This record gives sequence, C-alpha cells and structure tokens, in this order.
Amino acid sequence: MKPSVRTLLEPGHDDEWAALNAEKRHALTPPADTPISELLRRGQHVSAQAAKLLRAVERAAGGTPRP
Amino acid sequence: MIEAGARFVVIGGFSVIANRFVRATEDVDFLVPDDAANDQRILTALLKLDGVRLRDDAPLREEHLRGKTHLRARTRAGVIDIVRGGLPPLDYATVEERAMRADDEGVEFLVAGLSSIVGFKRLAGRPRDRNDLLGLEEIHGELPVEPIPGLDG
Repeated sequence: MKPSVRTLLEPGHDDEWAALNAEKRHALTPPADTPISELLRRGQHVSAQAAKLLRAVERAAGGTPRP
Repeated sequence: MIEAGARFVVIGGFSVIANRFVRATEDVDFLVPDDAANDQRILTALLKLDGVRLRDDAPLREEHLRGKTHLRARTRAGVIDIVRGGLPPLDYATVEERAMRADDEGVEFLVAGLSSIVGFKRLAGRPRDRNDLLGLEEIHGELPVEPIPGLDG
C-alpha cells in the first residue's frame, strides 16, 4: 500500500515515527541531575492528571468503557 | 482546546489510562480531523498555552499545522502532540464515533475507545505499545482487533 502524505497513522512511516519518538524521549526525559524533589513533583502531577481523567470518564459513562 | 471549540479525541497514553490501564505518561496526544477551520481553533488553543513548536521553539503559526500530518508543541500544559486521523478504522470520524465521553466538572471531551486504542497500538508496535495491549487485555479480556489496511493485508 502506498503511504499517504495526509496521515502518519498507516503502515510505511516507521522512519518518521522513530524520529518523532526519539524527539519525544529527549523532550520528556529529565536530566540525570534532576533533584529527587522535582522528579517527585512530576510524578505527582502525572498521577493527579491520571486520576482526574479516570474520574471524568467515570462521571460521564458510569465507568463502563465502550468497546 | 474545548474553549476554542476544537474537535479532537484524546489518544495515546491518557486514553490508555482512561481505559483503566493506569501507567505513567507525560504528554498529551490529540487526534484531529483534516479540517482547516478546526486547525485554526487548535492553534488558537495552543497559543493560549504559550505553545511553541517543540522542534525549534518557533512560535506556532498556521503553516505548522495546515496540511501537515503532525505537530508537536511545547506548552505551559506540557508537550502536546496533534496527530491527523488515519485510514479507517483509525480515521477521525470512526475514532470519534467510538470514543468515550469524559466529563471534567461539566467540561465534556472525547477519549479514544478500546477498539481504537488497540488499532493505534498495533500499528505503532513499540515495546510500550505491546505492553499497553497486554495490560488492557488483562483488564478487559480478549481485545477487539480490526484489520488495518496495509498491516493485516
């Protein structure tokens, strides 16, 4: 199948995704000397976001994900 | 995004979490339709968050998204990926139709449903994606697998 230029969500874009994934890793990985307090703050922020999202889905759909 | 009136569906790690496999993720991924007016609304929202293009820290401009398959922005809310819908069943309309609703204190938005997530994860195929599928299978049982053009013949 010939890849489309309109989406990356099809087979045939492995190189582009590899570059994007590497860029994301670089952007999101904290430097090795990041203080523990900052790592904890980030972890708590992520946990809080996850909890907020789960509550939002629960509230809207009674907690039953659609197939 | 909601304030700006943009159409989007949350995909990626947060959609996995919404489907009850809770694991770490720090960026937010939005699937968007191929729609110039919607692109403008998305840009408006990203600019309100002081968004810049992550690649080069360039202030966001219309041409960063118009006609593009992907945009990654660094914003006050973190890294945000904007991804254009794919081929069915991973096109925007199908993913939107199958999405779950989320209600954040009266603010409603859509999060990808299980069948769409399975498609995205099968297509991506990274170790993390395979782990997500294993985790989701533990929770939901046998996962809904649909053929993806070019991947399944």
